[in-house]
Amino acid sequence: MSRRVVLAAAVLGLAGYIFVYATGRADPPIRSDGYSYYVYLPAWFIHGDPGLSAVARDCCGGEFPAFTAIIRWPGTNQWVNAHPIGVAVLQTPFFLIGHGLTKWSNISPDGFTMYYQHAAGLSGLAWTIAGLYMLRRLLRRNFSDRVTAATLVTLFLGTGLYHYATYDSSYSHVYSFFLFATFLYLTELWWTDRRSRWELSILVGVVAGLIVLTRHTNALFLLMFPLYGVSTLASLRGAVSSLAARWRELAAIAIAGALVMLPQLLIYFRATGRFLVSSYGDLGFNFTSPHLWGVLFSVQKGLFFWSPLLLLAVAGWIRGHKATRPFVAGALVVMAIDIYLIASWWDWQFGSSYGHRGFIDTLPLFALGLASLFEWSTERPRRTLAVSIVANLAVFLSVFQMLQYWNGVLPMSDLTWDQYRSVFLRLR
Amino acid sequence: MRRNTIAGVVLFIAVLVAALAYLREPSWLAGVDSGFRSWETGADGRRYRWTNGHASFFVPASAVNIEIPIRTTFGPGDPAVLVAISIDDRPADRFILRDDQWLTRKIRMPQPGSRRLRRIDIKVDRLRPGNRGIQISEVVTND
Repeated sequence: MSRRVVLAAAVLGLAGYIFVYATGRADPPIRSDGYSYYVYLPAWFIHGDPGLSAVARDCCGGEFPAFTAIIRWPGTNQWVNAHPIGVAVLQTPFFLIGHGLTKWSNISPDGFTMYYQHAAGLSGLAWTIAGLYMLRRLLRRNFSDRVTAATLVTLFLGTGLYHYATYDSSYSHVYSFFLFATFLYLTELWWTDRRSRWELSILVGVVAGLIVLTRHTNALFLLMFPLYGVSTLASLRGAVSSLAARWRELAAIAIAGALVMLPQLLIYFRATGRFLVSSYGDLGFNFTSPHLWGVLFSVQKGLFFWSPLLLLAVAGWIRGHKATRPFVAGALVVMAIDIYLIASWWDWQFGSSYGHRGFIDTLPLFALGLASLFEWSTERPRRTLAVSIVANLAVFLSVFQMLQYWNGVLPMSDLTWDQYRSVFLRLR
Repeated sequence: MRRNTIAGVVLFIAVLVAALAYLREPSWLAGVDSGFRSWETGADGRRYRWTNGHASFFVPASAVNIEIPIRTTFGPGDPAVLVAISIDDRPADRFILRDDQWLTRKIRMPQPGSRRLRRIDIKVDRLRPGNRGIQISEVVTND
């Protein structure tokens, strides 16, 4: 059943994608943040210029527009992109197909015409489905097929995931969703399969490297690996001695991760003379005044306001399950820091977006909690009924509000409570 | 099982070949363009579209020459704009816009190849405020 859910998600995602672009609800996919995540591909494959200057000359008369957050580095005058190369790396197979079709049809091969646009857009959808597939593999290790299927369906439709797989699929979030789901799966496999497996270690390193390449602050998520299975001080000591005993595999992980990240470091070095840069320029964090309420509960972008389904996931984590227990310490640390970082970002609403897009990345963690609650609900028919009703209502509300956003009924940011009430359950 | 696999592969290749044959020059390709904003009407009643830094469109391969009306705006201190036009990626024209008057460039088309459509690309070396390139009015094709 859960396998069919992944297949159905692919079909439903493709239908939604076609709908938003065929009806003109969304501008072409390579836009806003999606532009600067993608721009490396025409630079590498069409212009052969990792420095981005050739793309700037071709697309924009020599200067990138302000919305791209691609800035000239003071001193060197070279272009530095606020967004790293990870998304572009994962988009590469789709880009090459789009490039081939573009040349075949003699459409302008500038990196931004129609086949490139939809290669980038469909790439996001494909990696979302790959993420659901990896999540299914993770959940099936500890949950029944029915619970896994219910978790995948509700997560896909009851959160912003469907929106970011279709309407805004060129942003980084669904790529991180795939990488996080894969990282959790590999982490559990690495710790529970005691045999020394070099291939697995290298794979963990590659995925860890891609996580950092996709969004630097997501390096935080790598803490899930050493904190796996930790619940007490004694278990922390046990984890440390386990890691020490398997140092050769750890070295393989570190080397693989470093090799994956090397191109990004070289790009930074070429542009700035430094390997590590804060590529956001003057934009940054306000650590002394985090908008914690805003990012979690506010009408503007509150995570639980726009995806109330995730409250069930929190309940599932609190209730606990053998599948969630090894991840508890890591999830607590990662989510606490992640919420604080997101709430401290100068634009805590993350610009124009549906719900809070900053949390799409960590949905695999919420999936574990959701599955835990669904498993608990199956113990008694009344619980099953109650949880089903709540989950279905949450999914309905999420899908309806997403359609409101697509129709332009909901503003893209700075929504007020009065505005929300005035358009509640209205599609036009 | 093996027969099904072979049938699947053959079907996939057949669909792929058919799709590629169709996509080489489908009928809707003539209407495909890129790098243009929406149509506007100027004070003189002329319709035009702003380009971005790079715009492209198709014309019939049967055209002997094409006429492209072009202009840009000049605010205080705005420098001249270098415009480069290519046909199917081969340079065809290159000139500088020094004032805000409409300029019609007549470009002789090279011998047609195997395609029914030729692609025209227009690039500028600098943008006006709002990421605008140049204004292009309606292109005339002469057979």
